[in-house]
Amino acid sequence: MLHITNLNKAFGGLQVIHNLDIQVGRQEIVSVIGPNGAGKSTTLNLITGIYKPDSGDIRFEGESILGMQPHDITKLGIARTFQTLRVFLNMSVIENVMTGAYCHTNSGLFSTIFRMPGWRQEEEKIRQMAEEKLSFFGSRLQGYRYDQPAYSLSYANRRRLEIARAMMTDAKLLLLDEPAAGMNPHESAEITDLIGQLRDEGYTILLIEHDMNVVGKISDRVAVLDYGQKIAEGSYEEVTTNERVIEAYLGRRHEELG
Amino acid sequence: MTDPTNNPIPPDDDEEKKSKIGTDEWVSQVDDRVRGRSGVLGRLVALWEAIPESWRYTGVLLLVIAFPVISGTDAFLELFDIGDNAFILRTGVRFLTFAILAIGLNVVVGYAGLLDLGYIAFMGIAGYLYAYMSSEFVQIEGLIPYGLAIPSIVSIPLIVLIVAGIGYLIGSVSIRLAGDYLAIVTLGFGQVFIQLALTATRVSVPGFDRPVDLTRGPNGINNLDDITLFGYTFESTMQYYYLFLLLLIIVFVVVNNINRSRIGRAWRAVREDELAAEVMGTPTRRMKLLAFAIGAGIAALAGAVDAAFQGNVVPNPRYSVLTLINLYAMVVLGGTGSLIGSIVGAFIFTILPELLRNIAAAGVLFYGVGIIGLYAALRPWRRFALVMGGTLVGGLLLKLIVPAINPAWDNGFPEAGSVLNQIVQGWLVIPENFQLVGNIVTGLAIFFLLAAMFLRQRQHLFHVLLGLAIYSFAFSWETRLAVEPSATRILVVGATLVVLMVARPQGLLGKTEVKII
Repeated sequence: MLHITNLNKAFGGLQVIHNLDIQVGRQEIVSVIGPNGAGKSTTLNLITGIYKPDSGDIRFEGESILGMQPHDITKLGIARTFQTLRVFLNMSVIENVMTGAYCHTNSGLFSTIFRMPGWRQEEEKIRQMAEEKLSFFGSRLQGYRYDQPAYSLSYANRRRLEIARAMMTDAKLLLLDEPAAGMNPHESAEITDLIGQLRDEGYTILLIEHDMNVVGKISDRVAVLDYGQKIAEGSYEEVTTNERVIEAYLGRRHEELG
Repeated sequence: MTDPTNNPIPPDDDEEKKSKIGTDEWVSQVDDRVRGRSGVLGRLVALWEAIPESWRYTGVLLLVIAFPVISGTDAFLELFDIGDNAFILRTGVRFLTFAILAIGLNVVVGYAGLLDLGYIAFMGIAGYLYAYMSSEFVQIEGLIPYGLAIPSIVSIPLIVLIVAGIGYLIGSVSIRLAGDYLAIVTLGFGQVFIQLALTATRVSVPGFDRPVDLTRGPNGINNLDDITLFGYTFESTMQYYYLFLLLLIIVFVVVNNINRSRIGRAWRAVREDELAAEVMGTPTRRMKLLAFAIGAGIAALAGAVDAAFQGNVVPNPRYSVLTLINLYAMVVLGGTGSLIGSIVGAFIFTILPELLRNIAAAGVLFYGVGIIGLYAALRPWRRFALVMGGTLVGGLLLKLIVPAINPAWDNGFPEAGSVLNQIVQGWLVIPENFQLVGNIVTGLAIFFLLAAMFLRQRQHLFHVLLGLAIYSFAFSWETRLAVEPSATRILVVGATLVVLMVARPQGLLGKTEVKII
């Protein structure tokens, strides 16, 4: 579904991504892990079009998405969440989610101004869809919550809201940037279940995560980045016993160095 | 890693005793609880909110429709001490014009969050376009001898479209810039426009042997035709009042409809977080350009009809930065992002200075705003009552003691305009040379107020200083300000705005914006 081949990106003289290859198959959960500064978030920014790669190719469902505007990439079916939460704080919860529907709705200015029947139907459809997406997270984002400003939500609920907003874009591929960051063990266990459910719903997921409990439980495949290079790939067990991975995380043993 | 389930929080048996702080539902209702204030103000707000929304709109609308008739009655003219209904109606038209302009600016600034300082130029361009289309200004011998004379039903929509197009173009070259940079570029655009309007009087145009006067410079273009729609010509101020009212309603409904749709949501998303909006599939650049174009179109509508109403286009000060600043003040005062707020802001800004021409009304406003300001600053209301009561009693004591020591210290008689003035002057100790003393006391009043603000923490001192400030402000008003209305008018408008903005920094009808939590 997503094919990243030979991707390179440098900021000035710093090579952030170096000859990166990642493949994600349909309904697969692929986790990208690595130490801080390994280039994980940069990879997501490259996929979503926020950064332009120096060389290499990113293909989504066979089509190259290089050089496309971020909103056009979203329209194709790639949506993401942010490591540093970026919900629209001063908009209501339901509006936050409804915003995600922009790319697959098409009421024009004219039908909006005159409130044509087509517009009315579409608005109803959007609202219904938004409520449906929010119901995915149980009652905590429902009912009286709909019309409350997003800033009144707790940290964990904002993460959920971001996921709902990403689902609202009708995406096939979800890029989740550290969904369990800042959550307590109970909440991250719940997020883990949720990601599994998302896959069952038909989503494909590329996950960046530091919490190894989350990664270990749900990943079909794990790719490990270090200094912008993929140093290992495989199942969670394979990767965590890999010599180079341990080295990247913990450093080399002293006697080996000598 | 320790298992958190080893250490469960003991279940609370008594649901009532449990603190609700930290509970999602409780936290989320904080705003409601804050809004449900105690006291008279809270009760008034509750009373107003008990009226169904549609009734409120209908009531206000009926009042506005009936206003020209009400303002024409003798009772109304006498009450406000104005001899002429035409003046009131002109002020009304000014209000409606500015309300439309403020809504347009609100679309750009409030919804899409673009700091556009060239906004007023769109109004100006529309004015000049209307002048070209509907006066004898454009004359080419043999071809257009008596001006273009395009019918209003064609020219007004055409102007709106052209100016919206110009707005789109200006936007597309500058929209990449964010915040302050966009402001500077658009400010430059506005300046270019007004300089052109002032100086493009001798322009060589191919095909003409003499330089062509495009704008008639600072004098502007006169004798514009009135608007004619379906054979009906708008001539009198009252007719224009209703035309502007109709346009305001149309603009309000259009913007309101857009705002409550996916386009409105996209605008707000762009304002909140442009990157997130873009990545969530909103074409941010297109949305910003749309806001720019719609704002320009609304400015053009107001500008063209305003030119027809005035019968001329004169660049200064109508299309100057000064007008722009006024418009911004209206939008900010009403609350950026609030449609009704823009109208309220325009109302306060156009009506208030006119109302204050009447010094008796200005006095009522001065004391009214002062008391409301104090009431807002002193909570709970007992503190307010304490300070007011203390000042009142202190003043009365002075009134008893001072004349007993030396009667000459209390025999000044400034002009008393209204009953209110007479009452306050009866309470104050006013010496013979009150004008000199008034100057000093005005300075003292400001000193006391500032001192009170600095010493807020020390409650008793704060209350005493406030009382002194109240007394000296009342003295200053009665002896100096009320005697010189022309300067006072501006002062009171300024002070009112300061008080309003301090009391509600988010604007009268705006919502508090939360940036990062």
